[in-house]
Amino acid sequence: MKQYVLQTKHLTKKFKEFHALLDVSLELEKGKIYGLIGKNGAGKTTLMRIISGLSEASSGEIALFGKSDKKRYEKELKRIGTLIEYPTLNGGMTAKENMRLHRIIRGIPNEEREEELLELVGLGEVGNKLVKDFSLGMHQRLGIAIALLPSPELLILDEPVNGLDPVGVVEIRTLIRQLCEQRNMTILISSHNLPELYQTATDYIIIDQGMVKKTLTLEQLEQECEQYLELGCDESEHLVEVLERRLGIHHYKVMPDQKVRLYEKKEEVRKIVSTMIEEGILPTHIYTAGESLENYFLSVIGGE
Amino acid sequence: MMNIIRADLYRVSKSKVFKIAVLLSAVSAISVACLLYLVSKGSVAQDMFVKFSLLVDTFLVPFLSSLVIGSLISQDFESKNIHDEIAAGNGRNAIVVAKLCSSTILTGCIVLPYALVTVLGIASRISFAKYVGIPSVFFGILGDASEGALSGQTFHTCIGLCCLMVLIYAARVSLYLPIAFKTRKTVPVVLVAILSTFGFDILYALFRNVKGASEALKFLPYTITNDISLHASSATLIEAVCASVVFMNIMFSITKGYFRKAEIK
Repeated sequence: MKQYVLQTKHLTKKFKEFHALLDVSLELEKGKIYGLIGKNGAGKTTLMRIISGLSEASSGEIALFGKSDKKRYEKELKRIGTLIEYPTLNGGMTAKENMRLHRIIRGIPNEEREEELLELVGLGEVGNKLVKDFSLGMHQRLGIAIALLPSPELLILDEPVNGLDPVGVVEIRTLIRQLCEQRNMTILISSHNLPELYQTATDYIIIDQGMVKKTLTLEQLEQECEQYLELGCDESEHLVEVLERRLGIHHYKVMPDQKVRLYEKKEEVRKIVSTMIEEGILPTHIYTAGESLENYFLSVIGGE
Repeated sequence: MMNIIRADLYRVSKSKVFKIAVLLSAVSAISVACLLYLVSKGSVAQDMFVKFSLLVDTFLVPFLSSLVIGSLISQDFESKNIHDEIAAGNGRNAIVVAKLCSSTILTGCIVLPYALVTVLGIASRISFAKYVGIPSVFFGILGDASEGALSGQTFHTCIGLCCLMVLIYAARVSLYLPIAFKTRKTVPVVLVAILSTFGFDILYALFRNVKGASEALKFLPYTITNDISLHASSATLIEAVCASVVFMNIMFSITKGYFRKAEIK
């Protein structure tokens, strides 16, 4: 049975006449990394803020670990860690002191956790440095360490690799995957960059103008963006039969316009065409194509 | 809720503003007490009181506490500590209660030097002059207690009055909570502190003869201190406690009402 960490039903958030979120229904399963992808202003942060209890939905339902009643929802918030937008920490305090402050707020007794997490995010050696002297990337890492303090079951990260150098991006990406694999943590991570999320997430939620446009798994995304050879002819049923019988091609898709997309042996164009002609099928259209991640994202949100 | 209070105190313990505020309060309390001693000895003229008026608790405590509490709450929003406070499973009401408790504790720390100077001054049996100018309950008590013989009961009353003053100041400071939660900035809180320090006295003077208004203004933790002295009746003291508690409750309700549905950036 699927275990849902978070469920939303018809969630809507209105700011006067503007719909920041509209009818958002989602289900996040335990132990998966969800990539929340959308343009700037698509509603990603608003959704994360509502989940984190920082903002209240105008209508709709939201349940965290199965609890939707306001009081119980507030209690369940203890089981989540958040990093919403840029972490603005207490600049006059050191990294360790910032960790301690948040440990006290969370009521976490073991002090060792501060060092352990600073090490985990690569800030072990600068724990005694004032945060105001930190670079943006170091701020981001400390923000992640703070979000990890309560050993969350759901970790919400809003654009966590912003400001990180390429090495930092890889490190954080690896850390996120490790957290999911080793601790069975559910992670909701937002970005406006699909290729970046492609290397981290297991599931994708595409959001635009406050609406969820599509939810899909990594496999489905790969399928959508896979390269294919598109064949056109007057007898698509015959073509499919020939492809299977003569060429052993089974991974194909017949499109609504009767064109056939081949996802295997697509480099053997000569052999495919000559077989078609031998079988009396006249090709009207031969085309190699495939969506890039960016183009796929744009096609989903209705861009060009 | 207790975790938020502990976290507030931890953060304040690292803050220079708070340390300077307590130091300033201690130096001011000692300075005014020394001045009162020197005036009573005749070494210094009474007109020196004017020069020391900014050091009296009536002015300095609201100013310093507004600075400390304003920066505590505004920093909560600026540094997004409030995110963690909410994510730690604290309801918004609990957060407001915690901030009210933290404010009360911090105000207590700022008032404490005045209370200690008063109690120690009385216990020392040194003679102090009465402060003339800005009305100050602490220095009023110090002057009054110096006049007669010190009995155990008088000493206990002095301690009780000092505790009452901490409560009254905590009530006054609770006015800053809705302002701090609404504006999320220190400057408006300090401005309200300065205005309210004298504003309520001015209003009371203006509406003294208007029935209803004068009574309402008198039942506030501002003008009520005019009646608090060593010779105040029990009814006056009970009224002061009630006025403070009611005022704190009103400020808590206003803050809670606003913060309950507030968007947190």
